[in-house]
Formats: sequence, C-alpha cells, structure tokens
Amino acid sequence: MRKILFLLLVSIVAPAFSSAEVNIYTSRHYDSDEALYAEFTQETGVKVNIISGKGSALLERLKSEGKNSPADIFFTVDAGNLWKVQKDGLFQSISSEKVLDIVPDNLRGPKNEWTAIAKRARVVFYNPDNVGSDEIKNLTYEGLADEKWKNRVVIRSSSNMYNQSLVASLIANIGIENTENWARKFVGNFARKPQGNDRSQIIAVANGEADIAIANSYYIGIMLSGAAGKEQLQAAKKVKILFPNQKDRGTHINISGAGILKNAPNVKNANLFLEFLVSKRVQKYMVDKSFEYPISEDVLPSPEIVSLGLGFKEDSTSVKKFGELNPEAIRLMDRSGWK
Amino acid sequence: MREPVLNIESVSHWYSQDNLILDAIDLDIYKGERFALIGPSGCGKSTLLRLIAGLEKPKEGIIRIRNEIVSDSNKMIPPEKRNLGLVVQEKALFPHMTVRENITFGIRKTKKRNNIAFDLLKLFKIEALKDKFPHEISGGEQQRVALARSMAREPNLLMLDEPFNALDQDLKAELYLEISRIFSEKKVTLLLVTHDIDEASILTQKQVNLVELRKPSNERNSFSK
Amino acid sequence: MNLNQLSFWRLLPFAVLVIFTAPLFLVLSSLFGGYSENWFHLAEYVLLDYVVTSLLLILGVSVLVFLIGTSTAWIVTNYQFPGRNLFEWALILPLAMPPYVMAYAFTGLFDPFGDANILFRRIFDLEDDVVFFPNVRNVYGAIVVFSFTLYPYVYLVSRSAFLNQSRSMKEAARVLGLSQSEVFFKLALPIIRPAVIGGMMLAIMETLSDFGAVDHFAIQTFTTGIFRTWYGMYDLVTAMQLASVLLITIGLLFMIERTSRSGAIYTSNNSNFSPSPDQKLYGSKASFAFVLCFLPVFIGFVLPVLELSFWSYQSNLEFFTKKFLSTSINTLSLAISAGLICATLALLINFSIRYRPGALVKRLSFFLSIGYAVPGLILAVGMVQLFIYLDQNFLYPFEIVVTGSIFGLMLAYVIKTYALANSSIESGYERVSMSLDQSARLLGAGSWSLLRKIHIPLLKTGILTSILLVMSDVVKELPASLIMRPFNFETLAVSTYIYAAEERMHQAAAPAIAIVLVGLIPIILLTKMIRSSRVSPNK
Repeated sequence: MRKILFLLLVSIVAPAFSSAEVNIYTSRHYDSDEALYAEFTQETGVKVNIISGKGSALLERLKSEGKNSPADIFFTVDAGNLWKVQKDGLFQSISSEKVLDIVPDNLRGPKNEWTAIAKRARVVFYNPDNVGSDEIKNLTYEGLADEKWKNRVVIRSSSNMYNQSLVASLIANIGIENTENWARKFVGNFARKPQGNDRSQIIAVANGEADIAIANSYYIGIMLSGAAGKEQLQAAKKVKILFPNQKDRGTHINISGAGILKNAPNVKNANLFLEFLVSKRVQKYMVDKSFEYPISEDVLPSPEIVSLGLGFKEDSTSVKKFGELNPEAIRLMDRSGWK
Repeated sequence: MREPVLNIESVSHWYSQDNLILDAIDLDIYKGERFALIGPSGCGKSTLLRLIAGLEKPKEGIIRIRNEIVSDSNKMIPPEKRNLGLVVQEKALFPHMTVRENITFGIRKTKKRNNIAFDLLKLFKIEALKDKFPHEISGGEQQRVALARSMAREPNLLMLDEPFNALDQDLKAELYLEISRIFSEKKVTLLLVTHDIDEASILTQKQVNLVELRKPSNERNSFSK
Repeated sequence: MNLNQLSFWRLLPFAVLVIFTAPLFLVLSSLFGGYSENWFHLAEYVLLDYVVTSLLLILGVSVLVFLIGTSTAWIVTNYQFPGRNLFEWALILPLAMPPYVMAYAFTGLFDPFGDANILFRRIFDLEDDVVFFPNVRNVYGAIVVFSFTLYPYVYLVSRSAFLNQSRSMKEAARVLGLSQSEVFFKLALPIIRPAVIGGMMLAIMETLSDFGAVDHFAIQTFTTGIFRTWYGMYDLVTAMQLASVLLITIGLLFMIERTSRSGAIYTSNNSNFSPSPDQKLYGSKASFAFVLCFLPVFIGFVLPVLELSFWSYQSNLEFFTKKFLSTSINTLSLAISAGLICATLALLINFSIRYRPGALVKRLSFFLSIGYAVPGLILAVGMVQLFIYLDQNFLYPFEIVVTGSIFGLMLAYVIKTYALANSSIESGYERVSMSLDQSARLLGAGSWSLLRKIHIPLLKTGILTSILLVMSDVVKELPASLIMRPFNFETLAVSTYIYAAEERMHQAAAPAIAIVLVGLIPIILLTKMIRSSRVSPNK
C-alpha cells in the first residue's frame, strides 16, 4: 500500500531536469508564437517549453525557485519587469554576437542583460471632424494638459502599465513636480472617467464621444486589419494618428523583450532562441501578426502600420527609467486623481 | 334552530376518476358541538378536513362556514380567510420559532398577543417552555403547543386530524383529560378525526362513522357519481 | 486499518488545517513585516475608494443573488407553469459561465460598438453614434455580471431547502391566516436563512477574489488595488498586506455568520415530509413566473453564449480542431481529481468534527474554507513559496519537486475550492439527526462503519453536489493554473487568458466557449440530480 502511494506520488510530481530543450517563462501570448516555437524546434531540434502568465507572477516564481529554477528565458511585454529582473541580478549577459549585431544599443540592457524583441508606440488618436490640423500640429504629451482640451480627452485607467510607463517617462524627462502639475490638469481634461481598454478609447473618438485618445499603436493595426470585425474597421478608418513630441524627445516607446536567466540550465539553447527571435524572417513574421514595430530598420512593420507613417522620432529614454520610476508614477497618478 | 358553524352539502372528491375518495358527503356541526368522525385509515377523513380548511378544492359540492359559502363550483375562499384551526399528527411546528412565537403566530393584533399567549401557555401548562425551540421539547409537549397555536385565533371550528397517534398510552390519557377540560371551558367547536373510538368518546359528544354521512342514494343529485 | 481511531479523528482536522493555512499564513505574515511608503500612500489616497467600491459591489451582488436565487427557487418548487420543468435545472446553467468570460461577452455586446448596439442600430436603421445600452464598464455592470453568474449558489441551496419544507407546516400557516406570499416571506424564507446565507457567502467570496472581471471593467476594487500594487509598484509585500486585510475581513464575516447561525439549526426530526401539491398558475401569473425564471438564464447564460459563439465562428474556429481535445482533457482530469479530493476531505473532516466534537476544531474549521476568498494569484504566490521551501529542504534528495507539478497545482485547487465542497457536505450533515449516530453506535458501529453505512448513503446527494461544484469551479479557475502549472500544460482557462490578456476577445471566445462546454458536464450531472430529487407530486 505504502509503495503504491509513493509511486503514485512520484508519477504526479515533475521530474526535476532534462535536456535538449529551452524553458521559457513568458507574459507574451500570441497564437502566432506557437507556430514560431514549432519552427524553432524543427530548425534546431531544441524543444520549447512554455509557461505563460502575468510578468510579475512569473517573476515571483522565478525568485522563489532561486538557483533551482528550470527557466532559461524570461520573455515579457512589460519593460518594467525586465528592469526588475535585471535589478535583482537574475539575468546573465547575452553572449550571442548575432543578437548584439542586430539589436541597437538603446534597445538592450546596460550590460546586455536583455534585448528588445519588438516595439510599440503610445500615440494620439484624433477625430479629424472635431480636431483641426492646426490645433493638433506639434502636439506633445505635455500639451494635453492645455485648457483647450477640456472635456475632450479619453484614456484608460491608471492601472494600465502602458499609462504607468508613459507617466514614468514624463517624470524622467520633466521631473516629478512638473509631471504632477501636468497630471492634475490632464485629468481635469478627461471627457469621462477612465474606463475600457485602449480600443474603447479609439472607438470613443471615432464615435465623437471624445476628440482625442491616447492608445498603443498596434490596436489600430488590429482594427484596420478587420480581424476585430467590420464595425471596428469602420471606426478605425474615422480616426487619424499623431506621433507626439516629434519636435523634441520623440514619441514614447515601450518594448517587449527577453533575457537569459543567470541559473539557466540551457544557456546555449537560450542564445539560439534569442537569435532566432531577432532574425529578419522571424521579425517580419511576428510584427505582421502582432502589429508591433520590429527592432531593426531592415524589417518593415505590417502594411496597416506602415500606412500610419514610418520614420517618426522615438523617445530614447531608457527602459530602465520606466522600471525605476513606475511605482512613483502610480503614486503620482493616485495623487492627481487619475482613476 | 341554531345556525350550523359548518355546513357541508353533497361534497365529493377524487384524485383520479376511478378512485372516488369522498362520495356526496353531508355534514352539519353546530356551535359548541364536539363531533368525531371515525373510520379506518385511508377512508378519506383527512381529505375532508383538507377540503374544509381550503387546502384543496372539492370537485363537487358546497361548503359553508357560518352560513357563508367558502367552497363551491365557482368560489374558493383561501384557507387564511376561513379562521379555522387544524392540528395534524406531524404537528407542523415552525422549527425556527420559539414556543411562544409559534403560539402567537396567527394573531395579528400585537396588543392582544401577550395576553393570549399568557392564557394559552397557562391553560396548556407549558409556561416553562415558552422560550424553547420545538426540537428542544418532547412529543407530548409539541402536541400541546400545536393545540395552543391552533386555538390562539379563537377559530370558528377546531379540527384535529389523528393528533395523538404518535403518543404513548399514558401520555394520551393525561392529555385527554386536560384538553377535554380546556375544550369545555373554552366552548370549542370541535371536529376530531380518528380511528380510535375510545379517544373519540372521551373527547367528543357525538361520534359518526364517515360512511354514514353519505347521502341516501334517492336524495342524490344526478351529477353524483 | 491499523490506526488508533481516536487520535486519527482528532488529528485529521488539525493536520489538514496546517497544510491549508500554511500558504495563508505566509500571506498574513506580511502584516508583521515593515510597512513601506506605498502602504501609507495607498491609505492616504486610494484605499477608501477601493473599500467603498468593493462594499458597493458585494452589497449589490448580495442583494441580487438573494433576490434571484430565492425567488426562482420558490417559484419552481411551488408552482406549475409552462417551462417549469425546464427552468428547474436550466437555472443553474450560469454556473458554467466564469464571471470574467461573461464580462468579456458583456462588453462585446454593450460597448458603443458592441454587437447588441450594432444590431439595434441595424434594426432601427440609425447612425453609428446612437447608443442603446448603458455603459457596462462600471461597478453596476460588474454587479450584474457577478450576480447573474453566481446566483445559482443561492438557488441550489434554496431549492433543496424549500423542497425539504414539510407540506403540513406550510398548510398550518395557511390555516393560521397567512396568504401564499406571506408563507414565503414569513415562514419559508426565514427557515432557509442559514442555507441562503451560506450560498450568499460563496457568491461574496468569489466576487471579492475575482480579478479577471473587475480588471476588464477597470473598476477600483480591493483586488485591483492588490494587483496594481504588485504589478505596478513591484511591491508584493504591500500587496500581501492588502490581501491580508481582505482575508481578515472575510474571516470576520465568517465568524459573524457562524454566530448568527448557532442555535438556529433547524433540523427537523420529522421525516414525514409529504411534497406539496403544486399550485397551477394561469394567464398573467404564469407569464410572470416564466419571465422571472427566464431572465436569469437568458442574461447569465444564453446571451453570453450566443455572443461567444458568434465571435468564435467569426475568428477562431480552428481552436476546436487543434487544441480543444487536449486542453479539455487536461482541464477535465484536473477538475475530476480536485472534486474527488475535496469531497473526500470535506467528508472526513466534517465527520471527525461530528464524531469527536471539540470546540476548538469547530471554531477553527472555518479557516479551511477561507482559501476561497483569497485572490487566486495571492494564494498561488503563498503556495509557490511554500513549495519551494518543501522542495529545497525535503524533496531535493529524491530528485522530485512539487513546484510546477500537477500535484502542486492540485493542492492549490483543493485549498481554493474546499469551501464549495464543505458547504454542501456540511449542510447535508446538518440534516442528519444525531440520534441516528447514537443508535448506530449503540448497535455497535465503529467510526468507519458509521461513516460508510450510515453517513455516506444519507449524504449521497451532498457528496455528489460537492464534487460537481468543485469541478465546475476548477474548470473556470485561472490564476493558480497560470502560475503553478507545469511546462506546456494548458487548461481551457489558460488558453482563454492568453488571448484576453492582449484584449483579443474575438479569439478568446473559442476557448471561453470550451470552458462553458466542459463546465456544463458537471452542471448537467447536477441537473440530473435535481430532477430526480423531486418526489413525484401526486399523492
């Protein structure tokens, strides 16, 4: 009886280690990713094992597992979490020359602890019926605090990490006091209490419920592609896009990125996997599906995104800052009444 | 002649066409009268009480209470408007209420509540139990509570359906004495249903077998089956 | 069995208690650590908001689940009307619908460009800017979502309690001057109060621990605060401190409920229940009954299922050919195992409390159920930390680990859903008279044979119900599955989340519908039980 019980127990608990594989903790989830992993396995013979979840939760699992963690790669859409892992010293430097060749400096960790895999811009959507081109010309994020936008702006809640990153980037560039003053006025301009996701903001502008929305670039790509239905396609056609801060530091950029963990059991395979992700062909495949921006200029984004205009100026504020300042950003938004 | 409290005229009832439970019953009970219906179990005695109480509607016939029609082919006064008392073998005490709350349950006027409760608790010798819950008292005590509860509204007619079946002999003897004293003191109009002839003769003045209530066939209307 | 039975029954609850509460104590221990500036920031600026919104939410949910659950249960147990036999079981269908999935469907329907608005615009040939339905992305929308997915907990307990109320009692009340509706309000309802409150507690706990739906609606509840603090401020300690406050609140609620219940155990030692003859309803009354029963099923089940089917037909049908089978099998086998384990544990523990009553055990036993109220992710974090500790200190020499194993995941489920299993077995036990135990023991039955020969047969329905309730909850469970699962192990909820996290609701619809389909399996079994639990009404 005891023996059977023990065998049963052993059969339902996991074997501790095995080989010819790469173990990935990811908070990035696309259908297309699975096809990618399958292709990687076909190319290299290395099996891809996945656990997906919220970045912070995975990070907690990583930390608890400590040196016994089976994870090789931490892959996330939240730059703040990359910084957090880096700060906790859980990453090792990426050694692959190929990766370092392809990815520009500013899209990597200070000691190559991580690399960006794709980019998204946080941009302004406006309704040309209600907003004149003069009015919107040379718009900056800072300018959205102006009196003239009273009751005209929509944006989602302050719980959203893209808003947190945006405010963190403002703190990094104009200082905490100025940002707080800005936030108070900006919140005063809201046309409605923050609600819904990025797409709801774009739709509110298309509807005329508000004149201006801040949302991520790829949502308009999804809407324009028709994948979200005819109605959203119609709505997307009604709005125009504007890249803020073109005359100064550039438009706010966030990344999804990945790094190799310090205790990774399969370092070689992990490097192979990162090389695979940043390769031209895979980059093109990924951004076509996700409507993000690729990390190298040799690759074009999806046609829907190309149609919005290429070659805009990107804010080069380092991702490290977003991570560092994120808690401050949340507290600031709380203080200014951003729900 | 006095008016009957209860008047039943040609009442028939059945649950399926081929099984007639009550067949053209006639019955009058007068104020202050204590009356027992006797018969073996399954002969329809309980059904008759349910019809009088308004828990079911007779298929045929008329029931009057104090000269007012409460059930006939096109009228049906709901049970709560008939002011009757009914005590059954299961007692049906409300499990989440104390003895006192059970007894005063049917009394609407809050002013009178305390007095009536006090009188009844005393009358049935259950003052000591007034704050207990039904599951905390014995079967005989439960039966006293059920009787007290049914008398609280001073009903037109008190109906007892085999109320003492589950009690043992000694307890019964004691209860019989007490409640017949209460009944005559309160001048209760009583309709007792039982299979026990001794019980009937102690508690009532008049005992009739259910089958005797059937209308002689020459007087029966054509609709009776 | 070569066990010292006395100590076995005494020790069992404590042993389980230790395992169950270890992760919870890890969460609670945060209260004794330092308080960061974030804690004071939260207290100064937003905590009040979180508390008010959460209170509004649970207040609204309590009222609605109570109204829907008890009224529909009363109607289907006491009246005959067209559709009654259908509604009697259809009313529990929304149990297969996770609140977060219903939230997705609701925004998909009622947002300005939602399908319901589009449909109405087409019907009346109107412009795009006409919006028919009120905004659902607020606390009122959330109240509707939680109420219409969680009312079956109240419905289930009310229904079985109403069925158990003896006819003679209700008739006695009629004869004593109560109208049919007064019987409901003054008698039937007060008697089932303990059961109803138990059902409402389940709904409240699930509401408080939910993250998916409130996140989707972007409303500021306590849970939102917990996750914002964790994800955004990277401050797990403060998040756990917030979670502890939530835990303690729930604990207090529990205790209040227990004390209010004590002395109000209405075991009827009268087995002579005759089923009430159902009253037939006609005309407008019948239509009213029909509508009252139809609405909860329509809003909580039919409507979201229609919307999800529409989406998955549009955009992700291949899910059903590619992944449906494997993920469903994963989900189902987890659900069945968790259901069996939970029910067995709940049975053994309730038995041991009854068999060897000790005031302490009884008072502590509610801690076992509290896992249900802890946000799944917080519970999971506590568990991960516990497992790592076990792995590093005890299991490493054996080259096995529980972290990221099915076993670990299962334990998380069991801790999370024990409350569900316990509630139906406990209420079943309340109806088994102690005198049965006494006679059985006088006749020489030992503990195991008392359990096997008397209790298990008598509690059959309660045991089955508890297995099925746990199953339906595990099928819907998301957070623990996300963080604790082994590599490449996908459940249906995980597949749904993977799309929903990127707000691609159309693609999320296919796995979401699969959750509902698989979740229907235990529900259908439950409905079968419900139908057979009714004694034929003609006497």
